[in-house]
Amino acid sequence: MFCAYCGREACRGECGRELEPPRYCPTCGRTLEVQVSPTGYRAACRRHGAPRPPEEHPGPR
Amino acid sequence: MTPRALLDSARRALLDERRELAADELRSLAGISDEHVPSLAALAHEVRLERCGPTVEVEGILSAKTGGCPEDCHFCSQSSKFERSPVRPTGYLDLNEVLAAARETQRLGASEFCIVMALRGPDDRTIERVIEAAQAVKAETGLNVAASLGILTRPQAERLAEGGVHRYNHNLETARSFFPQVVTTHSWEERFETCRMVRDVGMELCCGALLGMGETDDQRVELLEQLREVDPAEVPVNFLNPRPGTPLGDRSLVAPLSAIRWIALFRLALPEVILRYAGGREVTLGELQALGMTAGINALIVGNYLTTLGREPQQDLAMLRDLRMPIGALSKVL
Repeated sequence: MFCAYCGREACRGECGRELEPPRYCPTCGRTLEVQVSPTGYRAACRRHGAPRPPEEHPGPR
Repeated sequence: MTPRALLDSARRALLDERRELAADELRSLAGISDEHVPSLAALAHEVRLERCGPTVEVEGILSAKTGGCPEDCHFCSQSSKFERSPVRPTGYLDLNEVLAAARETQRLGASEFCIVMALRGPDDRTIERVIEAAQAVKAETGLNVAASLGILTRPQAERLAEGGVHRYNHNLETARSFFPQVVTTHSWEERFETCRMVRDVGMELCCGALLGMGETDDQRVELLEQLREVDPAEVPVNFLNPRPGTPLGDRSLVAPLSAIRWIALFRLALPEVILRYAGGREVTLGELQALGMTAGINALIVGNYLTTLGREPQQDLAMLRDLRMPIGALSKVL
């Protein structure tokens, strides 16, 4: 598992980035394509599609 | 002069004599001690109410083309020059996606919607795409539509104005003397020229600042003087939110009380502009965000930003309700 916010394998949320969309695929660590809109965002990995909801992968809430 | 005398003098200048503060006066106010910042903020709030009224303008923004920008603005995660930035380029959003974002903005009670693209400057096809979107957004939602597409040619600026884009954002970002340290792929003068052109063709100019990149207090005052030269309708105040993988990625945040001090100084230097809370306010000000609303701010971006998230819009709307600040459109033209 890779941190969806800093992309490191070792990170378990201590990167501490608030108010950020996920940037890395939790499965493979590749950068995600992210589109932010006024009230939401969508993120997708070319290989693995949309990451699971944030509460299911490492990284800050 | 004592802090109290400085504040009294500024108050007389702005509210009685109705003259603008000189650079020396702004520099003196910038240097007052921390314990006088609440008094500075109170004066700025009084000036804002007297010169602008109580209304607050709410805006939503959308990145309609993200990343892949050829410029090297050192604060920006969307530059193609910074290979360690995790922001991946996306294509242009289609009209339906822009309309969906405008509807989200409308539901928040906003009056303004800004379409932003990460570009050095647009080509003519992009201009037509933005005009089509602006007209569709206006027709469907009633929102006023602004755009931010980088450096313009005069025919492009004229076309946007004719096409219904009422306000154009092009930030100076920082003082002329500091600009070469944060951008090398275009000049401060190129930005200044686009700003002047925007006004010349009849659009409102939205021209903002980004504080916290390493500029000095004197350079912030220099920027205020330069903003006065371009005479914007709106000034968005951004605070650096250091982006991973960018040259400014390791810089510290502006201290909260310093942010309040400079919001107040922006209001005192620019008493009649729409002074908008923009990027970085959540991470910079935290619990002090309401204090900015009583330090000269009279507009805010609600919801998310271009590549980062904002706090819940309902928190901002509740803040405005609690402060008894009505929401509405502010404009020099409408």
